[in-house]
Amino acid sequence: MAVKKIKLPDKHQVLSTPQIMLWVLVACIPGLIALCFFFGIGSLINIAWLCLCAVLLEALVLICRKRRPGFYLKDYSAVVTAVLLALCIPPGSPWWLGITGMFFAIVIAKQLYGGLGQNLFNPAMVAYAVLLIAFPLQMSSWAIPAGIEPNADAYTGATALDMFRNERGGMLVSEFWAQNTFFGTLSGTGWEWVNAGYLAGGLVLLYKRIIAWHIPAAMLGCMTLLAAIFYDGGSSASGGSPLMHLFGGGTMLGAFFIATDPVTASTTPKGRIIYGALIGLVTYIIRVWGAYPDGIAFAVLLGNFCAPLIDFYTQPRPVKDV
Amino acid sequence: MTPILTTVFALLIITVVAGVLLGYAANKFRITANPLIDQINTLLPQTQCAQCGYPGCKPYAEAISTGTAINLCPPGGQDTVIQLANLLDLEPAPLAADEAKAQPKIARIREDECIGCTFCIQACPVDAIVGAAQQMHSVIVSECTGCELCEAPCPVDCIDFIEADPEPVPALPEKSLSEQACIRCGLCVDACPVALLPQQLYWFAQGNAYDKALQYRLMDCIECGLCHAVCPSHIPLVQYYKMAKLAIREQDDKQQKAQAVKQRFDYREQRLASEKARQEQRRQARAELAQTSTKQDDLIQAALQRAKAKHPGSS
Repeated sequence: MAVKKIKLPDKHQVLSTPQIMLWVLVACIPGLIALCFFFGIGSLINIAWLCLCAVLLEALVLICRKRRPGFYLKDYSAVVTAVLLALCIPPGSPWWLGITGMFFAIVIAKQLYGGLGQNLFNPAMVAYAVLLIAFPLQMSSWAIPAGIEPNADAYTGATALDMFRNERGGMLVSEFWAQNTFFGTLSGTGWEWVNAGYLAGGLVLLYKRIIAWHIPAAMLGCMTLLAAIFYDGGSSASGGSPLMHLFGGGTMLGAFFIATDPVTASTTPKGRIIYGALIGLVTYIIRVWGAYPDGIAFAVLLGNFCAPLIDFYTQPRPVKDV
Repeated sequence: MTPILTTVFALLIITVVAGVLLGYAANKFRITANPLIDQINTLLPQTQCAQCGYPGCKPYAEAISTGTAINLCPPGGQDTVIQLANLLDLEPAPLAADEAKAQPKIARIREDECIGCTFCIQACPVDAIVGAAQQMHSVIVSECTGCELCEAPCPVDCIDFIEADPEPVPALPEKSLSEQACIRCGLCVDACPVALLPQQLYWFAQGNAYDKALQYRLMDCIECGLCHAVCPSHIPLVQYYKMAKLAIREQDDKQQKAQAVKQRFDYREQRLASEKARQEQRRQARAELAQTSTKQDDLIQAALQRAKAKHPGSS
């Protein structure tokens, strides 16, 4: 018979909800710096504009719902949603892209479900998916990273994952990499540093115990495993190296900031591992065999669907069977 | 000509086969009793008060299953209306009767005025009045459902209806100003010593989804308060659990009481039926007896005539 071990709570270490949200914002800073370094200050403008939209829309809906806007805005959840979406959309996106996204995130995905804590789907990812499907051109036009000669017009706006999917032809992985040297060493100049920035921020969140290790570990582990299996020695049918997948696209942002959104994630320890692995699996499938170069948003939304079910079947038991 | 004949024959065969199959299925899978009626009946409070206009809960259940309004049951109150609406996938309408009538009441006989007529005993649907002819009657308080069916037959008007002991109505603690939304961070999961999922319980308790809360072992909560202590949104979780537990217990009590009343009602129905059967038997016995006695009369008449024939002179 094994009785559950508990950690006694220590009042002094407990952060309040607004503090948690502020720490998430702080943890975004390294990744944001990398984004600004390689893609210009467009992301900063995105953040400012989306935050403004988020706060105004949230206040508006709260007034319509006869709640106190001042009280609910103080939990900073709207700002976190805005910042996360701003980091996902291309720098320098048109203004209407931002406000459309925030409308879907705040009004549709969050407040119509009852506000913070009641939403089934991650608001930022709902908005991202809507924008990606409705405005695919604007959503995939990333600026050319700094430090790259803009000689290849064909590659304008394509990220490394994009290129790897669509432009590879039948090349071996090594050939592809040799031909596109400007894509850096791991997964595209700039992107590897942006991901490293998010990784650093995520480790801070882990250290502060704001997120649990289960979801990022399961998600990254699952992706690494799949990438290793389907790397296929770098053949022409290869799915790409594990490092390319870990440091390409939105992997680290997704693993530490998006998938760990507590409201829409699974909450049991075992469930979190299943949930994280599921997101890793779906992301990899979409990236390699699906129709989109990156699949974090869809994978997270699919995970959100499954979270209640996972929670139900992974309820902890106080006393394990003898 | 041949294709037409083929078609006609083919259709004929298909029709016959399908007809046989349908006929067989109609017999084989015949639904004898409507299971919905039983489901509705278990939701009704079983007071058998007939305030809905039907003579008891089962008839009302049958009526509901054919489309009668679901808001005619004052003893069940708004809760029953909502439960029925959930079962039948209807919009819950407000209760038809006024709320005052929905308050649970108990009959009491002013015993010094009772003349022992037994009319109220016969009217009581759950046999909750005891007494005998020319003797004082009395109400069994724990069995009375407050249906008021005994009031009308009483010739001396000695039955009062008093309020049953008012059940304590618990109230949620006022939302404190610092209580923020649950973000399901899971800190309470780590803290809970009995391995519950406090955030799920909070969710279900708030939404009155008690069956769900029970599935998540709400009743195992020892109300230690550790979840409240670690909650970053400062939600008084234990208060919600206490409320939900109380509501669940109340529901259970109600259900049990309804079951007990239903048993008594069913027993009474049985008793009345058997009494009727006995009466019928006695009536038949008497009728037979009457018939045999007419036969005897006939025999006597015949004998008399024979005697007359033998001795024509005598009277």
